[in-house]
Amino acid sequence: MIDPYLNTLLNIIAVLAAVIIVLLASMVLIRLFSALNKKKYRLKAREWEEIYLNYLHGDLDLEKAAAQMGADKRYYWLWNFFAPYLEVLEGSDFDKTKALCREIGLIDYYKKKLRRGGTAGKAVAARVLGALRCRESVAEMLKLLQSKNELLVQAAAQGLAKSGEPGPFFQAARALLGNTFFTYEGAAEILADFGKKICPHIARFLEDETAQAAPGENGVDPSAYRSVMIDLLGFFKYREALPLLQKMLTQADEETTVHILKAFINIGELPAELDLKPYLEHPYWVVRNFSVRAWKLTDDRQYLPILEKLLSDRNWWVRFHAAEALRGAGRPGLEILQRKTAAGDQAAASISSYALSRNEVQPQL
Amino acid sequence: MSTFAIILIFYNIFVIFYFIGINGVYLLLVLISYLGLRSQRSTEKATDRYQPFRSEFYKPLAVIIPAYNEEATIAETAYSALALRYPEFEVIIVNDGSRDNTLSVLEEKFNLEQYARDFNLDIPCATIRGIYRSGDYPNLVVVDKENGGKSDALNAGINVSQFPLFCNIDSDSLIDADSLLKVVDLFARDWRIVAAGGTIRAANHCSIEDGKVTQVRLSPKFWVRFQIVEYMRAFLFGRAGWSTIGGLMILSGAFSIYRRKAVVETGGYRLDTVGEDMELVLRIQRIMKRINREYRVVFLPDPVCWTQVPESYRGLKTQRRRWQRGLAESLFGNFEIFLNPRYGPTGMISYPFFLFYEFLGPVIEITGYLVFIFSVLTGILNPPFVILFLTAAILLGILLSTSALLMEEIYYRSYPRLRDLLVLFGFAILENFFYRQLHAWWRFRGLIDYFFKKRAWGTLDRRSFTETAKPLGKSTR
Repeated sequence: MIDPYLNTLLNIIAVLAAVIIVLLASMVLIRLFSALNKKKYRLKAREWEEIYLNYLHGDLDLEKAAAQMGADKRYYWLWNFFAPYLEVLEGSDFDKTKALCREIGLIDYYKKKLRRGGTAGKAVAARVLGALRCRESVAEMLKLLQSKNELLVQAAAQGLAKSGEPGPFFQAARALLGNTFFTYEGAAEILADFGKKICPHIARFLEDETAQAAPGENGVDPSAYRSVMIDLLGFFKYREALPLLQKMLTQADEETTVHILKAFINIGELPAELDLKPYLEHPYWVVRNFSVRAWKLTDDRQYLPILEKLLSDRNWWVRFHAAEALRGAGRPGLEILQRKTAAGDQAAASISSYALSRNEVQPQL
Repeated sequence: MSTFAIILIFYNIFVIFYFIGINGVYLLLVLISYLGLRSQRSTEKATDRYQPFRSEFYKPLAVIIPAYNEEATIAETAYSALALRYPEFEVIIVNDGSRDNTLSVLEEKFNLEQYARDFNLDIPCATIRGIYRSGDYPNLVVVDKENGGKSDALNAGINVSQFPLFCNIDSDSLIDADSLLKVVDLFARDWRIVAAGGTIRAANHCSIEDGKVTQVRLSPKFWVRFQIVEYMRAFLFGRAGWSTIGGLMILSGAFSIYRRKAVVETGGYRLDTVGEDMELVLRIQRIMKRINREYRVVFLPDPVCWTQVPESYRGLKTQRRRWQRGLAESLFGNFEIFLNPRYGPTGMISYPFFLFYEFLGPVIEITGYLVFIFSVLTGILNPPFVILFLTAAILLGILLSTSALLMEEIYYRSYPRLRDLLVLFGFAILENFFYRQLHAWWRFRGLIDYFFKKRAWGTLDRRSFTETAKPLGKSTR
């Protein structure tokens, strides 16, 4: 009779061996099935490509193309097939592709997934329906924005941004900043997909003082929210917002001031009669830094003495951008830099030599 | 029964429970990392997340490459870094007083010229002799400094870097073109992240063109194959699992990205440790807690860095002894974290695990083998039990490695041939028969080095990526 300990050990060994065999077999089967699947998809995609191009050229009508492509209802493969086209198509070709997807049943399939799928399914559906600019799914995607799940919020915001409907822009922005840990940059990146058409809406929002207080709702920091909006105006180079931004600048907090100056730099223009002096002499170094960069847009010589003083600023970035601004200011700027290289102030001398040495080769900074 | 026999029995029982504990945690980590990887894959499918992050909204980044006697690999590493896909970045190579031709190779290949770059000395570092820029690549900067070790070179690079994020890459490593985008994407999606890292894979015998891995091939070298299996285990269920539960304690020094401000606030890399990567991650966590700032340290398995792993017995032994010493230095240098609930899973789960199982593991394993043998010889344990127990232990080891191979197959499929995967499975079996014991012995020696305060880095063989057959240089610290 075998000792019970040994018996237990034998059983454990048998289980472990069986599990290893199962894992190994799974590994091999996954490799084989995946290779087979890839091959099948390649063949299908080749077949679909011909049908699709004939359809786009008008050699095949919608019903026939849909019947041939959607026969085996492989919706995920169909999405993979259409996705690269949807990224680049515009106008009638896009509309025809969308009509084909609808006829095949792809849109209905993903609409159902968006309503009743699991987390991953809903998120993929939001992406697909967004890429297909399905405005009828906007309401469902708006519901996802309220989800506690970060993936769903992100997918819904991306879907809404791609859908071409500007209405949900503010809800998406609030959800990204309030229900997720997204940074300004991350949120702005997604919101930029709404396109330049949202700029007038943003401008109206920024003009409306009461609306500015609203984003506090979802625990969104109003300053962060406003900053993202201003960043987007800059990103889209929305010149029409210059007077508004100038007006805001007079009452802005430090953070908002930084974003407004950044927006001026991105737009490539400063509002007429903007006095940069208070910003060049601002106690917060980031404001000084961005105002120096904004100065480059005007080239106004009256600020040269302030820029010269900024070569001795306690912050490296301010010194760097002041030196860069002077380097780009032609002869008077270069003369200041040359004078400073020989001056007693070590910080100013060092940054001036650096800027002068950059005059020959321009590194990508 | 004598007291000695009773002690032996108790020690045997302790070893068995220790073994159950360590393997229990590993099995749990396999499950957790499987779920974590699945969730990451869903996120990628659903959000096409690397697609949009290519615009000016991305934070600019400096890639810092410390180099000491790296004439054989430095040019390819630099080409690889310069070929990265990222909106705005600069590459800073820090020549740490090399005694070979590292600087000359860089001068020749990249048309370097000295210039007066100004920077803040935010972290102390050895004297910087000169800063060079490339006439051909505007975003390449070479810093030439006096020798001070890898940590000191990294600190010099951080001082010279001007961007909010920096990425450190070893000079014998190459990173995939999209890797930076993938890791920095995490920084854009979560403002709490202060440090993030990716997976390290063995580049030995892979085809490399212009600093890029163009074809992944399995090295024919015995020692390399063991390490491939080990790396898969360490990254695919080790770090992925710890990261999923929020208890990550280490990011690989070969490829990780940090917020510059956070690193400067912690005083940069410590010079008195050989485990500078782990030590920095732990210290960042301590300082962030001290100043009450929310933070996260995360690992993403997809961005890949390819590195040359040691091909010789001597090289591997040296590396593993150093790693164990670095582990000890990092743990005891940050002991405040141990069982401290303020640090969440890091303090309550990962740190105790690393202390009891990773730090003490080699001692228990080596003494366990000796006590088992002695117990059999003296009749305290019966041979059938020992044989069955060791069989179960070996099978558990194989099971863990096979799980890592399966996850690799499900999620990444780096090795294009099925044969390579089966060969690796063979090595997952083989490693249990002498490599595991040898590895435990090296780690044990590493602990002795730590207690005797050995400071040297040891000697590393360096080979050109494209000429793996012929050693071209050596690097010693």
